[in-house]
Amino acid sequence: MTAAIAGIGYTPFSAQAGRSVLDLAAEACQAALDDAGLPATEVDGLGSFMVMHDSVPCQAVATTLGIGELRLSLDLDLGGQAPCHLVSLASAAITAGLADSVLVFRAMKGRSGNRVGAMSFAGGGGQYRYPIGYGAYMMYIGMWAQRFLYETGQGEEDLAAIVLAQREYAAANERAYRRRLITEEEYYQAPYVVEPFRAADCTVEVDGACAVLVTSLDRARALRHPPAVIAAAGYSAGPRSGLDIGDHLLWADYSRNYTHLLAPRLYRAAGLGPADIQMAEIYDCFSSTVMMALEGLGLCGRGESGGFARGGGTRLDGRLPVNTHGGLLCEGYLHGMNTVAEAALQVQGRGGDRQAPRHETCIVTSGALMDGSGMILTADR
Amino acid sequence: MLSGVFLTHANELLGSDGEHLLQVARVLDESAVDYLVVADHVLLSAGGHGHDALGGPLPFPLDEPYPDPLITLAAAAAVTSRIRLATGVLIAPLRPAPVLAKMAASVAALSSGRLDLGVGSGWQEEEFTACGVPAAAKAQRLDDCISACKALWHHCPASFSSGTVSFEDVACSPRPPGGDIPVWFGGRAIPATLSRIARLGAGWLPLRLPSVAELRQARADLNRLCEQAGRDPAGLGIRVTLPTVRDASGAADLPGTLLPAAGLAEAGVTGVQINIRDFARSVPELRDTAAALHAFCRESGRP
Repeated sequence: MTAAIAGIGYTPFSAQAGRSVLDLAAEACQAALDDAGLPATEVDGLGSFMVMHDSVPCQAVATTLGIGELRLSLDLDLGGQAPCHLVSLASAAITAGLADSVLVFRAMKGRSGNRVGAMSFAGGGGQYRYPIGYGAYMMYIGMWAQRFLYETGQGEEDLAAIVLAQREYAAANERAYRRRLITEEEYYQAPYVVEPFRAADCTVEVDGACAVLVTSLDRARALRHPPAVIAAAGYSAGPRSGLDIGDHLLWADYSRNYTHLLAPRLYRAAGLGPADIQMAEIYDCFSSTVMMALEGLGLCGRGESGGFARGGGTRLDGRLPVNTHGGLLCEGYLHGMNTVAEAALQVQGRGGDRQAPRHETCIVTSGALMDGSGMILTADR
Repeated sequence: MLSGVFLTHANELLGSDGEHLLQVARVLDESAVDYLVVADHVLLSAGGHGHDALGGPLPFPLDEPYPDPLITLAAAAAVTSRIRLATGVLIAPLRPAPVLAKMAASVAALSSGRLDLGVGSGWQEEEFTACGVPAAAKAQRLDDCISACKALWHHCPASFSSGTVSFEDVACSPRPPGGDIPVWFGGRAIPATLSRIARLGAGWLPLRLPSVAELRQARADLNRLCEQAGRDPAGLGIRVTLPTVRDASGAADLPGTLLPAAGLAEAGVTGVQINIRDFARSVPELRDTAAALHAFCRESGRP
């Protein structure tokens, strides 16, 4: 049995929600149900994730929504690797008969509450990172970006092209937190936060929640909107992926992330190749991860993603529109849950002013470094 | 999916006079790669015009070694016991059909039936002229040639009559083990080629990597044509050559080259082959590449 995404829900994204994470979670989940036209009593599964206990357990959300018996509850202790992973697990659970309809959500006060940028990940790898002053997440991704750009012969002008294209999308997205267009000059005027990242290369942390409803394709067909079919989904953690969530010290090659391991599996399961992919929603806590994924997924040759973006390839009228919501860089850092939601909206043809012209196949990623997940959504054919 | 290694033009690996061929064949036989594949040109025209379908000039020097494919495979057969030996493609109409039937049957017999004969109609007019074969009606000649070969492989004595090849009550022995040789046809997915595959073929060797949509269409067409020809399409193979993907520095990227094939099994592709010239210049590199290629194809499922 194939599964599909049938409903999408959001709260507004803000700097200070002024209410509880549980309230945000329930609102986004209820919005996803209303969007699909499915009553909460029909839901029997929930999935979510949290970093350093910054969110609420599925059980609490189920109780708040008035869901009856919960048959599937997935609380993952993960960050941005989780959204496609959860959709994949929900899809597998539905196929296996463990659940009928599963809400996957992320709720957090990522700006006014616990900010990932300020967290210490005191796991097994922390003892090596923190004593040398190597402690913030953007430093890790910055290190990878430097290596990636060096190895592939690319540079800051390529990061700028990614950022400027996503800003244009955000201008057409009223949900986006950062909607102001910037010029290339403005981009370069901002100082480095961590080399090679300037402010515009970094995601914007927000308070908010986002949810998608996963159900069987048969049921999705009976709901309000056309289904976004989950043609392939999976998770990958490469060998030596570390001792804790931030530990990349044992990873062999900082110029390649999990996407190059995951890509063949996704294409195999979907029966598609990179040439068949019409658009992409790529996890972008920082701009460099878009380039790494475009190359890791075979959508661009190695060392060619920057030129592709500079040539307009990722824009709405380009060969492969990428991050049509403006990405996490602009819409807000819901740890990639909103990347999944945007992909589903686009495949359903509900992208509004930023709708990609060809939207029958969309590849989606979650995660930036050693481990992550991805999926291919297709129109119902 | 099955895996193949295309050896033609691999001059650094094979040696400029092909002196390392036997060692390379042994290494491939010890690996898990399924096909050893070689191509064919009897002559190259210094006129230098490119392939009519691929366009552009010849992608290799005029004086590059181009040993006879069936003689090459006969040599490889002598030092291997497992790997399938394939031409991809041999220009069938350049040879008199009975000569081709005899040579192919001999290789098949010497290799215990491991020959896969991939054939094409050819494209260089000068090559046809020099071989004493009119270049006109190449497609018809290909059709007649393979039909005539099949007659000689299937029957002894055999009789056959067509526009360009005819004979009556002649014997061609040895006959191939099992009484037949799988014949694969190269070219684009045009109706004539697909019809030829449905009537006479074991599979299709696309000229360039088709899209998933093109593959699905070709599979559907083949199914329909096989039904018309009264045969089961399930056994028909499609083996594609993967264009070598290079990174920004120009180095060949094996994972990047294989990636577009990941979804192809679903679209009906049964095998892939790579241009080993781009990936291996030495036997250790060949071993590594063959292992990675096989691992990828194993993951992609076998037909």
